[in-house]
Amino acid sequence: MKKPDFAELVDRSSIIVCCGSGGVGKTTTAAALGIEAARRGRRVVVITIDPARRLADALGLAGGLDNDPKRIESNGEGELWAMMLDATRTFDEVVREHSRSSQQATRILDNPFYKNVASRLSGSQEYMAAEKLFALDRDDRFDLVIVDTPPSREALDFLRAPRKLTSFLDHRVYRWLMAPARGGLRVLNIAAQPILRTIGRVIGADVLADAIDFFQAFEGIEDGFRNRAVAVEGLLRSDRTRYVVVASPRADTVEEARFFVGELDKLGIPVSGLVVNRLQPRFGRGTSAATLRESKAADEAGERTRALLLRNLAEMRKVAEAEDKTIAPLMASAKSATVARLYLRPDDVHDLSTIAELGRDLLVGQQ
Amino acid sequence: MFDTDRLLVVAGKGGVGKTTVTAALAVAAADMGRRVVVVTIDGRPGLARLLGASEEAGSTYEGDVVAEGRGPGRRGSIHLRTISAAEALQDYLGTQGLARLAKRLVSTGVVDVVASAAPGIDDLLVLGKVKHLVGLAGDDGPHDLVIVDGPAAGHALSLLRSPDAMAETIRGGPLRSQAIEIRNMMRDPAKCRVVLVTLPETTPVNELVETSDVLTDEIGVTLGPVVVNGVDHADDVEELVTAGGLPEDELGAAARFRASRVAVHRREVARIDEIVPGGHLELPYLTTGAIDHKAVRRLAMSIAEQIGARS
Repeated sequence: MKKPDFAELVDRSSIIVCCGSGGVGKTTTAAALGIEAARRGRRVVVITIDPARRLADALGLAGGLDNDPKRIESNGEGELWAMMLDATRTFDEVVREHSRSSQQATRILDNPFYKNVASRLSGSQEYMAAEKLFALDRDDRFDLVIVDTPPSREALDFLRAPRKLTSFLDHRVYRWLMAPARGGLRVLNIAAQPILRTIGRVIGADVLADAIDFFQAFEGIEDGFRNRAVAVEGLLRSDRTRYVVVASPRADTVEEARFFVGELDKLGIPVSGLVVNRLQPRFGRGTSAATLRESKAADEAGERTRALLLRNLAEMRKVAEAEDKTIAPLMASAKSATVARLYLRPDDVHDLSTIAELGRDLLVGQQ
Repeated sequence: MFDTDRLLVVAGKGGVGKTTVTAALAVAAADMGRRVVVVTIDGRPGLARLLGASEEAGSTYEGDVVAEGRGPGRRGSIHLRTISAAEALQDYLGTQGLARLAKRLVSTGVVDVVASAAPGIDDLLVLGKVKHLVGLAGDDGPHDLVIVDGPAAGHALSLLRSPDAMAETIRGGPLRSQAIEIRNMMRDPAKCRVVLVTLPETTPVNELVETSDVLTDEIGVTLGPVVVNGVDHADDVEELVTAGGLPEDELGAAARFRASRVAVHRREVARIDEIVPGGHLELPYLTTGAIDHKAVRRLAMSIAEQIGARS
C-alpha cells in the first residue's frame, strides 16, 4: 500500500494531532500545516493547548489568541483560523452545558475544589483540549482541525483524558462518596467515617468537605460527561483523526518521539506523519573524515582560506552524521509514517511567510 | 557559584539540553571539590550515562555514588538519586503514622482521590524530600550541594509553584506547615537558586523571559546565572564570510550558513544579558557528534573556567 503523503494528509484528514516534546518546532509545524491546508482550499482551524504564546508568536499575532478562533489572513481558496485553549473556561462551558439547572452549575462552578480541579488536575487541560476539538470538529465553519499538543507524555494524557475522567467517575471511592447523596442523606458526616477522617488528616478537613460537596453537586450530570467522554475518545481513535509526530535530531526528543510512536501503536493507532525538524542543512556529499583530511592537506599546502572552509564543512558534516545516527531508530520505529525532513534556516523562523515556506517544504521535503 | 549554594534547581523547556547542563554542572562542582547530590524526578533516562555511569545507576532514592571529583584533594563526588512521586506520597503517609494504612490506601485507590482532591500534593511531597536532602547539606553533612534535574517543560513551573498553591488550598494541618517550610527554603537565596537553561535562539529566549518573570515575580525564587547551551563561536568562519569573495559552491554555502547562525547566537546571547540580570554561563556548540560523558567533561571544564574567571 502506498503511504499517504503530507499533501494527502492535509487534503483528506478531518483532524490532525501534532505530538512531540517541547522545543522541536511542533507549534511551527502545526501552523505550517494549517497555512498549507488553507492554501490548498481547506477551512482550517489550528488549536494550541500550550500555555506559552508560541502559536500566536508563530502566526505573528501580537494581540495573542484566546478561546475563540480568530481568522488569520492566508493565501488561496481556503481559510485559516487559530485559537489558544483556555482550559478553565472550556471546563466551565462543559459544566454549564451538562448541568440540569443554573443553580446546579453555580454550585459546581463556585466550589473551591472544582476551581482546583479545573485548573490544576493533571489531565484536565488535555481533556478540555479534546472537548474543544470535538466541538470544533462539529463546527460548520471548519473542515479541518489541527491540534498542537503539549509535550508528548502529556499529549498521551490528551488521548487518555476522556477515559481517565470516566474511570474517575466510575471509581469506587467516588461511588462510595456519592452514596450518601444517592441514599437521600444530604449531609455526610466526615467524623463518622474512619477512612474519611484519615484522608481529612492528610489533606485537611475543609478541603475534603469541599471535595465531597463537589461530588454531590456533580450528581446527575456525570452521565452527560461520561457519554461525551466516550464520544470524544471515539473521535480521537477514529480514522478521521491522523497523528503527526514531530522530533528534532537530539537524543532526548527522539526518545520521546519513539515513546509516543510506541504508545500510539499500543492503542492501535498508526502514525501518519513523522516530521524531523531543525536538521542542520546538508551541503554536498562526502564524509566528515574525508573533508577533514582535505582541510589538513590544504593547510599544509598553505591554502589557509580553503583549509578553514573545508574544516567548517567537515564540522557541519560531522554534526549531520551524528544527527542521522540519532534519528535512525525513530525512522525505523515509525514505518507506517510518511517522513519529512526540515532544515534549520539561516535565521530563526518566526513570521508568517517563513512558516508558509516551511509548509511547502513539508509537502515536498518528504522522502 | 557552588561555594555557598545548597540547592540548584535546573529548569528549562524540553530540547534545550537541560539534562546535559545538569550533568555538566554536577561534574564541574565535583571537580571544584563539592560533594554533590544530583536528584532526578521520576527518573528520566540518560543522566546516569552522561555522568559516566551505567544506565541503571542512581535509579532509586538511596541512589549510587557515580563519580569522584578530579579536583584538589579529590574531595568532590557525585551521588545520583531518583525521587518518585508515588514513593514520596507513601513515605509521607508513613510519617503521619499511617504506615500500615499507606499500602492499603494505595491499593484501594484512595491515594488517587487524595491526589485529585489536593492537586499538587505529589509535587509538594517530592519537594519535601528535596528539602530533607538540602537540610543535610553542609561541611559536617554527607554532602555540600543538591542539584535537581527539574522536570521538563511547563511541569517545572507547576512543581515550583506547588508549595504556594498548597499553602493557599490547605488551611491547616501538617501538609500546610510542610508547604510553608518548603516555600521558605525556596525563597531563601542563600539556600536555593534556579538555573534556567536555554538555547541561543529566538523562541527559547522568548520563553526564557516569560519563565524568569514567573519564577521571580510569582514564585519568588532567586535565579542563578542562565546557562546558554550550544553557543557557536566560529568567528573565523564569520570573518571570512564578512570579507566576501567566497566561492559559490558547497564550501561557500556551508560557511555562509554557519556565519548566519553565529550571528543569531550572538544576538540572542546579548538579548539574554539585557533581560536577565545575574549574567550567563555559556556552553560551547560541540561539533563532535552526540553528547556523551566525554563531551560532558569538556562542557564541565568550560563551566569551571567561566566560574573561575567570574570570581
